[in-house]
Amino acid sequence: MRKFLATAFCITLAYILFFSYVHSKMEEERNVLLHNENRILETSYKAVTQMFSISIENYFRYAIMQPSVLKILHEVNDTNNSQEQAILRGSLYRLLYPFYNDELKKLGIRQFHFHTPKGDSFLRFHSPTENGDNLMDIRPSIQKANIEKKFVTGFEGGRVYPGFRYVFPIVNEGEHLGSVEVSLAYENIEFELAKLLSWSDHVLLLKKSITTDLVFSAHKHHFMPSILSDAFVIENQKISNVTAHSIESELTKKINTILKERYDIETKLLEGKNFSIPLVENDEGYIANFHAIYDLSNTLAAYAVTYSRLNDLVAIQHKYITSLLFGFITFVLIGIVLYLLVEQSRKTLREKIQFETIVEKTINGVILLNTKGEITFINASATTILGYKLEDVLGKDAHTLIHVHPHNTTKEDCPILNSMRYQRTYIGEEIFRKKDGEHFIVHLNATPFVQDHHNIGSVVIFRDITQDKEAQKMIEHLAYYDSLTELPNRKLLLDRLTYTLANTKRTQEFCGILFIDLDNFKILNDTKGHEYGDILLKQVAKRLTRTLRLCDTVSRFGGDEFVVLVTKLGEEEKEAKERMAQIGYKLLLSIAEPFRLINFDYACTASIGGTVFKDDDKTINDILRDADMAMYEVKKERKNEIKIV
Amino acid sequence: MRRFLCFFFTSFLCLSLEARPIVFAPLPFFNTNKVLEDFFPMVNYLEEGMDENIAFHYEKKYDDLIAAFKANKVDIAYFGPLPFLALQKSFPSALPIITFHESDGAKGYRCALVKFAGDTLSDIPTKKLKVALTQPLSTCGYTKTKVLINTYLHSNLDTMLYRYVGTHDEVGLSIVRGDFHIGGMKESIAKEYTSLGLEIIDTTPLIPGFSLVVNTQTLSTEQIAKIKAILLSTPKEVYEKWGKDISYGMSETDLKMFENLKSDMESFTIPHSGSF
Repeated sequence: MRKFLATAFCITLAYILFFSYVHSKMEEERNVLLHNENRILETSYKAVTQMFSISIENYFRYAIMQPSVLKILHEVNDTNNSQEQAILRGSLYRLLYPFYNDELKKLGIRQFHFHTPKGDSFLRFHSPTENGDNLMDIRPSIQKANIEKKFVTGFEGGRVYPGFRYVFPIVNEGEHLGSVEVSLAYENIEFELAKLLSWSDHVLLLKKSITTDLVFSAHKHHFMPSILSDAFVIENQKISNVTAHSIESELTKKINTILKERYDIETKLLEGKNFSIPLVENDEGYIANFHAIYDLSNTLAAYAVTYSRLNDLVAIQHKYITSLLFGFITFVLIGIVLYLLVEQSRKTLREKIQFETIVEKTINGVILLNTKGEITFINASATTILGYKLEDVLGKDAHTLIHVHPHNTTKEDCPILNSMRYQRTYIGEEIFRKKDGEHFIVHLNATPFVQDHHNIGSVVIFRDITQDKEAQKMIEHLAYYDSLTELPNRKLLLDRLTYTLANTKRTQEFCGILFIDLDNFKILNDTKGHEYGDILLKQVAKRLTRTLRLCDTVSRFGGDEFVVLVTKLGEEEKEAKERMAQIGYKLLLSIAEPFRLINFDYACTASIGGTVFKDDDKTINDILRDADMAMYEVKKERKNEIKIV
Repeated sequence: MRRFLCFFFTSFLCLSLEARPIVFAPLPFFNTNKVLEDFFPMVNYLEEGMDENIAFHYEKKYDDLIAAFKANKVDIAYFGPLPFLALQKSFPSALPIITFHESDGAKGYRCALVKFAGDTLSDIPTKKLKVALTQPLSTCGYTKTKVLINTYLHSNLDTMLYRYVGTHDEVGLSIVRGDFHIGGMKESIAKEYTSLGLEIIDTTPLIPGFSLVVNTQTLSTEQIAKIKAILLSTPKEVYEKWGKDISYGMSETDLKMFENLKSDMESFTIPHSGSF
């Protein structure tokens, strides 16, 4: 569980990093898009205002700076009589009204305004009855134009309308005659912007400080509250046809609602920077671009705002959501694989530890060979058994170092190397050589390592079986020999009898059996004890063995009974029986010699019954029975005699 | 009891369906928004005082407003004296009850004959003088301008070149621009244009001011009395925030003031279009 949790934590952490990266990339791409959109607005805005600037400068040169106008302005400058000024004002209005009405109004210019050198309003063509008010303090453009006598252009508030001011100082024949101002309503800018940015709705957000806080009270109705911020107003849609179109458009309403609900747009607006807000709603992308407009006193005055659809936002969002989704799936898969790898590695490590423990702790020797038969690994048991140190054997050829080949076996015939060569397990007994040269028998299992049908080595597990072999010999000896007399026992006798009987079918020579029973053996045992009896039996066994040929078998058949198997008695029965009798007598004579039993000499006799046999109908039991019966007959009649049947 | 409730409910339902709010019609004008803004505070004040809803009815021409009044679609209207007389001539149930004061506090106003101070009229033959008029049914339009021209220039307007230009402001501006030589307009408005060199060359005697005219066919005597009482008792700090033309106070209409105007109307027929 802890492994799982750790893996899950790591993957979650990695995914968080991936998510952050993808998200930052998405933001980056989206910001590039937004930046471009905002640049388009900014560039369009500059292009439009520049275009108007060029037109208006031409108007100033060719329509305003004409002698008849300058004459009136000179006269205005020369009089303080209000009645005369009124007539001159009217005359100026009369003179330039056709220009105002036919040229400027058609260009969309809303305000055409003459000022005195002191900054008093002299004539507003757009509001002729309103004049005489001083504008120096509230209109930096007029102040600058009349004091510095420089052309001033920029956005500015006003007593009637805020707008884009183009204020020209009027200087003629060295005399400062005041200034004239041509102002564009944003409506005009918007109209031209709409041509360039036909896919957008346009709104001008005006700061209250340059509109409702500044205009004559009679003109406050030119503005209406903005839904986005209390600090801003918009042009009254009942007055501005272009604004009305944008304000009434479903797109603008929708974006405004989203901006108001989801964003702290009021705070953002007060920052006074260009910005764009991407919006995605119901799988539709929108963008709201805000271009900050600063007035001539370098104070934030307004925002040119465009609203448009921008489905690239949805495309970007979809792209990154897909990336995140694929990333998520990938990370989950990686997590699973990682978890499995960790688990596998843990399992492998556990198995390695188990393997190493088994290999190190086992009493069996374990040797790993490479394909060349060189030792690449050897465990402690193996080094102990072989008497080598680890460094003595690593990299050495096992075939020549430790494998003994009694028949000068070559590498090609070596069963261990062949097991690797033929990719088969070899199990068998081989002789290994210790460091001190001692040979010993091992039981080994050589199993090849096979990978993709290729040998990559072999593992040889061996065990020193020298002691096993000796034990086996002992067991076999105990099974076939009498422990007291060291003579073959009944089982071995029967084996040899069976073999001999079978052999007589081929050789056609007679063989024979002698049953020897010691006379009065029971009395000796009863009177002197078994110890004396056992010594007697041992000495009898030695005399019988000494007396007979090596090819004959003397066995202890049980108690004081001995059975002798005699072979090669010739092909004639009679002769065979005679020879059997001779052998019997020789045996009686050897037994007749006194036996030294610990502390006294003991004279012993025996009764012997025998029979001969060849390839006839006699079975082993028949043979033994005949010899036994012959022996009993002797025993019953007179003892210390022989009878061959 | 059940029958009584049923009867009461049915009667209430019928009365509810019959009832409509009092309808107020402001001065016909082209700038709807401005007119509504000017009259809204007064109407709102009346609504609160009467505890009744008052709806706006707006017409662009006096003729249409008079027609609506006569069709009982309008209960209260803001009329100049001449349109009122035109209405009363064919609809005696129209009754002026409140007259709004001028900016100087006068109960009536004067019409002025104006010219641009820079122009010299003596060089131009009278018959070639171009005269700017407001509207046919405007008091300061044909009716009083004819009288003023007759007095000042000793000439007959009908023999001169005249044209209706729509509003008092346009009369003033068109003269300053030189489109017309003289014109007739409300004196108070003409004064606003003196800074442009507009010169008032003659004025009429006091003419009854703009009035609230009620429809006695649709409003009860109690309702009329209530309207009158509410408006006459309106504090200054309230009415001075109303629209410019109705912010200088008000008094009960003196019907005698209409007599002079009435005789002018009866002495000639107002042409509905200009002479050139």
